[in-house]
Amino acid sequence: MTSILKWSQWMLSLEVKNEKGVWFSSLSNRGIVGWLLALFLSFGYITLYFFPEWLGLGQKGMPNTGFIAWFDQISIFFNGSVASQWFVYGFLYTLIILLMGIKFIIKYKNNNYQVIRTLSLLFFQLCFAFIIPEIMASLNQPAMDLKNMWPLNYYFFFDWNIKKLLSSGYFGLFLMFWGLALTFIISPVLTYFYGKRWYCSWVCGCGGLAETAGDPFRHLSDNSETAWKWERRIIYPVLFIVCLMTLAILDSFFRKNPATYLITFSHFKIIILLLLAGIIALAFWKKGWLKGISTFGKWTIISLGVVLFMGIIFSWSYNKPVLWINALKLREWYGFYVGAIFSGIIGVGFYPLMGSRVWCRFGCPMAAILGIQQRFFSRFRITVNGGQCISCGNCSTYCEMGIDVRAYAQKGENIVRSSCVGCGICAEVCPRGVLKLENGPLFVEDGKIKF
Amino acid sequence: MHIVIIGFGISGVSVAKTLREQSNADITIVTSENRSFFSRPALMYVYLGKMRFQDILPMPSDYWEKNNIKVVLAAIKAIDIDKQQVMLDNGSFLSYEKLVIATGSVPRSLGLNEQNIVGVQSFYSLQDLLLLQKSAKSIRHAAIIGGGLIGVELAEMFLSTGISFTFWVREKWFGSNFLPEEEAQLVTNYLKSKKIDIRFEREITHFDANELGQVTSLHSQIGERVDTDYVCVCIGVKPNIDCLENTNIHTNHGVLVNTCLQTNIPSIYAAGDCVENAEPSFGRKSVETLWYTGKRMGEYVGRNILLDHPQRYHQGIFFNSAKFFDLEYQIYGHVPVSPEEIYGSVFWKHPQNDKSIRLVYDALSDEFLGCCVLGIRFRQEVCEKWIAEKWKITEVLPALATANFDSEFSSRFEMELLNIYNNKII
Repeated sequence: MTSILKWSQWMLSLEVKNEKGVWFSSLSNRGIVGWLLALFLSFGYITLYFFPEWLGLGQKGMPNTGFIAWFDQISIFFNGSVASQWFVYGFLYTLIILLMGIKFIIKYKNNNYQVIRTLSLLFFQLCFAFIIPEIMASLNQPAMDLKNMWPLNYYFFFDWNIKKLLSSGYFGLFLMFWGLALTFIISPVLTYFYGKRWYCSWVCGCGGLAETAGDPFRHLSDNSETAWKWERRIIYPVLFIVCLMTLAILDSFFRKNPATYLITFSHFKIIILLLLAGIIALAFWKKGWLKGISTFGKWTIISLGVVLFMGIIFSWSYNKPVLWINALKLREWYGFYVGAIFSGIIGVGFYPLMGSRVWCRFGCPMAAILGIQQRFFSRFRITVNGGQCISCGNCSTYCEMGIDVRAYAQKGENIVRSSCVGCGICAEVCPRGVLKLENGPLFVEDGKIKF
Repeated sequence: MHIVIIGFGISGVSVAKTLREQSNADITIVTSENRSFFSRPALMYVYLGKMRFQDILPMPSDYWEKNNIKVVLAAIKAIDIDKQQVMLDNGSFLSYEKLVIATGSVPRSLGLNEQNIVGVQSFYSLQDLLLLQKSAKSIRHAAIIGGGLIGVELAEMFLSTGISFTFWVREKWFGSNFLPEEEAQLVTNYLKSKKIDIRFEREITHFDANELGQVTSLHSQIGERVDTDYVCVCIGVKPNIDCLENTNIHTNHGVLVNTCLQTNIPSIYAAGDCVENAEPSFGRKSVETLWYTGKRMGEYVGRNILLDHPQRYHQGIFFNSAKFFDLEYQIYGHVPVSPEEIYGSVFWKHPQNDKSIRLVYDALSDEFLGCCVLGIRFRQEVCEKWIAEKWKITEVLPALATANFDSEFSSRFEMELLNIYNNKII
């Protein structure tokens, strides 16, 4: 108890730049306090997700008791009904982001980029993730976090969500189109101009928690090459699975309602096949874009695409579910292992053990897509100021994504990495002012901007 | 070809890296400090707990083995130039075809026999860090002697661990030996705002020690006596050339080299802090003990060793940077400490914050010569371009925005400088 008290005291201490001694403190050096906090957070998530009755959630219409009941009045104020476990979760999540965000702003008050970025995170969490959905719900409209897009919002294309949106009149239709535009138009355009940071460290809720509450743990992200290897080995399969799952669910949705909507099952089939053929053709035609990917990787992408293409055609021509996938099973599996365990329990619970961006780095399919775009088709980069690097390692140590920034900086190479969320802390901690986040011209020679 | 490099600092490592990129010669590095190459300027962060020792290693620890570079932990006993051999203190010897002296520098001494007093040390090597970490807990009152970058680093370190100390500085202002007066005042006021007991225009005359040889107090030239049980002397460095004493390699303050960084013995090169440049370019010192210089020299030496006709070493346009607590400092080109009549200078200082910009130009030709900034970051490529292409100050001022390297959304001050310059002309 005393350690938790001490922890909250320390977390809320308004001292400026108290980064001194992060490796000396038991909390931020994977010491006893750190492990205890990790256990506390992980069990907190497990209880909230799977055993909410332990926290006092009323069962079968019974009133809430205990911890959950504390939030009843607040919930009634916002949406007119007693608190659910998700309301409690959303409320606490937002509260922590607000409190720790203020602490973060005070810590970096001399850096306008950090201040504005954090204010943006606070705004989107408070308004978009918390207040606006509550208002929508209180108006008997479908509640939706307007900034949460597919594939991070993996249930956007689930049949129940589509049905809900399409049966809620013009407002539902607007939400449907907003969601589609967000994924397929707004996000690619913004990522082209500003890199994935516009989302990951300015807007996203997971990013919001990582940047504020996770800030004292950012140095715990492993920046070895092995970690980078595992990052790619996990994040791209997650993206692949989320695409497969969405495909399978849409397939079963259209199978049940072949011609109810504007887009029919046959339209859908054509769209999917064209999309896939387009990706394969692009990989062949514009091989230059894949510069930097190993030959093995390139052929994996191309051959996987061809196999999928053939598989989809076969399954559809035998009138079977796409690729013979059991959509319901896959959905359950994904929701449990990725949605709950990976992004929640490990993603947040492991802050004090593996740094604040475990989920964003190893798991988030949204980050994977934005990252691919950032690496091959974005103006964003971190530029290196001539030969000024003294190889001290502050940038690499404090990179929450575990990028070995120094390895580039000491060679005078600009940093263009798919995982970089553009938090700007590397530039802030650099004692020689070597790094700067920039939206430069798209094509650069030898990794250097030409003037 | 077997190449032996003496010294495992940034210069020696730059030689080895450049060599390895271009050849598969046998490379051996001899060092007496540590088996891993660490970033010397980052030692303070280890003390502060901002980084662990493994975090300040610029290359992964398996880099040397992977790249077939042998690292030998030993001190040099002698160099036999005729036999082309280096004798080590462990009794063995290394034969070389090419030898690189990258021995770096050693801290200057006050000349008060302080090497023999317990509790007086410098802050330069890994061993110094370990010694300081060991002593830190029992220090009652410390002294920092020397108003340079290391002195400020120590002040930050002591402040963060709550060690009371007095900061003894020879100059009138902090940094007045390397900064123009306005900048020196700015830094001085900034340091004073940290509530540091900083005493200017002081020289230490002698130390008192107890019967165990442990320092107990020190005396300044104006008769002060301050009880002190720990002293850090950081009054600069000098080339480390003791191991060359009984050889034919020509030395003066440092190892003398020709324009290609070759010593008087053709098979022996030198790079880094230990080098004395016989013909430094305009405004440059003959001994330049800087990380950046060591890195640049090392890369030249690495290339030159493999060439039949070694390339001339170009010093490039001067640049340096430092950080005093949170106050960043950068300099590009030629910024004299006391601007004489031939120099024109546009100086702007932020009315409240610790920020300043100075542009220096030739008063007769208006040619831009250099700039230094505090609390603001400038872009090296742009400043170098202005200097190399001999831009006029009247061309630089309107283009000043292109040099800014501050993070996005930072306040900008280009207009202020332009106004100052225009008012000056009228």
